[in-house]
Amino acid sequence: MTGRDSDPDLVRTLRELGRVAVPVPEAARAEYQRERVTRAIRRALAGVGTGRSPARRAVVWLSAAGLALAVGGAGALAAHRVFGSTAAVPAQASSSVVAARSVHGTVTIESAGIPRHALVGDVFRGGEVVTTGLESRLSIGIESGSAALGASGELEFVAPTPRERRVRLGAGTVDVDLPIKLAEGRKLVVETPDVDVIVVGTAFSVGVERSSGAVATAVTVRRGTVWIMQGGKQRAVLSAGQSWRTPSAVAVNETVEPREEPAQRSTRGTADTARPAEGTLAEENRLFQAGLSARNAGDPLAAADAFGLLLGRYPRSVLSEQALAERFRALERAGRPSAAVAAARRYLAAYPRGFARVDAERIAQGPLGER
Amino acid sequence: MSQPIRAVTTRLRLIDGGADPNAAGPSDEELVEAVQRGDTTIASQLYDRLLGAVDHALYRVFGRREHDHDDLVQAAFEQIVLTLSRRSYARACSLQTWASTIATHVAFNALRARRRERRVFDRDPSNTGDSEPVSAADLERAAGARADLERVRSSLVQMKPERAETVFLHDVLGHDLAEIALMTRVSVSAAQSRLVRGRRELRHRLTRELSS
Repeated sequence: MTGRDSDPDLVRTLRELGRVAVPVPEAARAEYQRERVTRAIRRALAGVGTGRSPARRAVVWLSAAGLALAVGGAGALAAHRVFGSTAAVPAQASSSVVAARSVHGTVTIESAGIPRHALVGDVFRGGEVVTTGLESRLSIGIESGSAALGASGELEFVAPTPRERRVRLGAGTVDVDLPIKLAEGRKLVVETPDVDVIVVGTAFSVGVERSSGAVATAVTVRRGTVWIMQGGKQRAVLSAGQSWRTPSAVAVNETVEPREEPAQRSTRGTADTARPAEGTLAEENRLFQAGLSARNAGDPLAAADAFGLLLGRYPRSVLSEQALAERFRALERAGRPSAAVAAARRYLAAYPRGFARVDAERIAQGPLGER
Repeated sequence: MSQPIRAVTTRLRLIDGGADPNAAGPSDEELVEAVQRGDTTIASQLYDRLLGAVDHALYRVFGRREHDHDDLVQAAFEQIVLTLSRRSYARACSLQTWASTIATHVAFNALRARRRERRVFDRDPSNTGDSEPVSAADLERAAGARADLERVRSSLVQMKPERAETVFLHDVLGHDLAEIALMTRVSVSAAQSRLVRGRRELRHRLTRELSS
């Protein structure tokens, strides 16, 4: 059937592609992927149950966004309302809403000290802090455009005023695109530890770099104009194609201390909270794998130690949820009930809706006499 | 000579399961019906059943597990749930075949998006991810073979999507034309036409690239 116009050499090469051996992924990575994807499948299936698949939500979102744009030019931020109702949100209301458009990897929102996983459609309110893990990112509908927080980033939302929307970038990079100019008198401010970046309609990115106790801000403008203020004074006005960087890195004070993983914060005071560099994933995987190997070899205490080491060294690891879960299970198996209870509670504090919630709740109640 | 063999065979015994991973779990039909009901309890079973097909298809399109491999696996599964719930799956092929088709489509879309961003195959050697192990002795030959395969992948990405995917599904993943026709919702003759034209275009692109 396919013999006509066949090309034996080409077909042979293509068959080679099909014969390439597919290596088995590392156990830690496979386990992480399994947890993540099955969660996504459950979300998609729940959408089927309510007649709202992810794609349909996207279509509804786009329709509503288009309608809102037609009405008032600020429809892109209506997503969070549309998830709950198919009615379009008045443009005035939507323009003051900041919502998660897409979530990739480990993204945590901390609200009033309680961390939770970010989901598409989550609305961010003043005082909430969102953090992204390694190889994670978050896209946000913000004012009349969007913002994307890159990997290992931290962004705090400040309660908006009628004249100003302000976000605080504590770490990482945020890329902002405001295709529609804000209403007259309104501005968006991206605050970093050392400067304020003020815009009314443009596309730009802001990055915060930390090195040896010093912090520096870098700004690049793709479109429009950006003002950079420092200590209430204008330091620079950037146009499209221009970049700016803090002239000399300023010393970090307590307000720009690297933030600790929410799971760690409640139980540890002054632990080493250095944010892991991009190149630490192999070491994180190695530690996680060591934990799994010890667990599989019947040595729960060594497993708990390995998972604890991973959590201590890399509190923002993409494997932190798995490591926390494995740790409280290992401690329980090792006959360390008190430590297991503490670890399970730590897991629940960080991941109240996590995959190991049922186990964690059971262990967190503690054995009789420990309650 | 025969003694050791007897000794070994006496230790072997038949156990349940193992050969057919589907035997212990629900059938394809039951999984599809559960998806259409929106039954969230089958998420793990769906993942376990189809991960191999999805992972292998993605790996063969990219030649490795890329940094966003997890994103692509997730996107493929979301598409699978979506198409099953919309009853796009005609049940004329196995669920694994359906999954590999969707994963191929997701992978080619991702590659095209990267090409638009001029990042296709712009690989950082320090970020190698998973790749097939190569012995030192075969290094040169393997490098040449890999370069050939990379050229094929690169050319496939530049082709018309329906032709590239038909060639990939047929010649790389080994699906037959009747299956491909069903999965891509065209007649068998249209699928054959895409295959023939796709191979011709691929050959043309490869020749042009080598001569330049």
